[in-house]
Amino acid sequence: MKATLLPRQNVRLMWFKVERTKFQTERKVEFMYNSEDTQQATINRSAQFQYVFTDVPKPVPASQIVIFDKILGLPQAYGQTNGSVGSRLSTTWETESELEIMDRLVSYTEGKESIKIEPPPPNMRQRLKEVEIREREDTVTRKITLKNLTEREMRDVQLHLVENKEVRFDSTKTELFKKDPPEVIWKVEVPADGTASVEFSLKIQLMKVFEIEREPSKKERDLEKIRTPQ
Amino acid sequence: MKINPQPIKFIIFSGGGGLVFRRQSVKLTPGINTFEIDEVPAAFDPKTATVELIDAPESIEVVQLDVKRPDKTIISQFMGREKTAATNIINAAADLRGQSREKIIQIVESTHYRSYEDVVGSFTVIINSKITTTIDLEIRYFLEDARIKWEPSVHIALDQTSGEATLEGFILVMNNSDFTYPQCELQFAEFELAQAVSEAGYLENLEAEQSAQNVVPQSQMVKNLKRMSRILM
Repeated sequence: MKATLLPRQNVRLMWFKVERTKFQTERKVEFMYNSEDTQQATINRSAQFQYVFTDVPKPVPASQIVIFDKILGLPQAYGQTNGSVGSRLSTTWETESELEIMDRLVSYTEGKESIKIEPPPPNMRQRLKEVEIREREDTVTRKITLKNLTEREMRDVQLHLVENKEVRFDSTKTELFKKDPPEVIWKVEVPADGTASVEFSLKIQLMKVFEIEREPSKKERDLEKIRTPQ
Repeated sequence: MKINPQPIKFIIFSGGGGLVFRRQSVKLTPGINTFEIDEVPAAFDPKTATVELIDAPESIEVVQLDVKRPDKTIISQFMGREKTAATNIINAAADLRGQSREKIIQIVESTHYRSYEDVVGSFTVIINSKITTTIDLEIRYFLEDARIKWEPSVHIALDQTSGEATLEGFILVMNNSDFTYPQCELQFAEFELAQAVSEAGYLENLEAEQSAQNVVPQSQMVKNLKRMSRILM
């Protein structure tokens, strides 16, 4: 493209224009639990969204994006892209304010505790008599409710539960989209101005370790008496 | 002979600066022909400057290129005085509403923001020819001036009802140098950079390099380019 660059001037050049290209709004909620927050009555969560455009004719590098509402002709959002991949251009993930998400506790069942006694590790044998390990597996059922605050249906809202060593996924009443440990994914349709929910159970592995100190021998007790002045 | 080849192509890099192509027809006479190139910014990289003789016969060859940047310390002293003079003009001006207002402001602004990259460097081409002829002489140099850069911007109009959008891409080109590139073919190259370019630009440490007197001029911009990602247009 030919242009004139004048000294101390900025030039804005038209680069490309595409009309009537299809776009999708992708929404996702990523969440994980630990042994403490699984018992919490309510957890407020927020979704993220991005726009995805296909058939973009030019390779777009990392740029700023100004999004307008075509009908109103007014700016709607200001975003960024990390650049296009092939003909696919997506904006960076932003917080979705039009989807309200509540994560509520349905039930919490404590499992039976098992007690194991083990010898102390070699480097602690001087001090410890034994190590007591108490293990329990609790089951928690939680329900995530998504409320659509718009007049349009929200399709394929993805819920990503990420498992960890303490909290593992157990079961769900809602059909899973994909189970790829450590991720469990649901895809949910949220009707316009309506709600949708997902209920699932988790297993929580709780382990407590107690160090049982060794009783001092008679010789040690006698020595202690000598050291401590009466 | 002094010549001023016009910029025909300018590939501007994402981190600032770029590669300039300038071309002019020159008349050669048998023997040594010396051409002093005018309007070469001091920000040109003398280490990577090249000359090409377009479609030249074998009887013509480039003997040597004399390339030199002016001394930054001395230029900075001159510019310091010019900036003080510009400030004095504004301070002493009783009324700047006359016909020359725009012109005065332009001169003062140019002087105020003038930096080392805005002065001219020295680029001389020495050609040996066995015949009398006219050829196209093309010079190329990297411009280590971070004040010339580009930034893309995309405007998207969404129609939520139809699920269709209109995408418009723009490129904002910033030329904060004192040089003009008239009707020049522009290209925009995106590079991965080894490190972000500081606000002071590529030639921040040039004074130290030049004052050492025993250091061969080094390229600053080119060595910062890690890998080219794409050329936009």
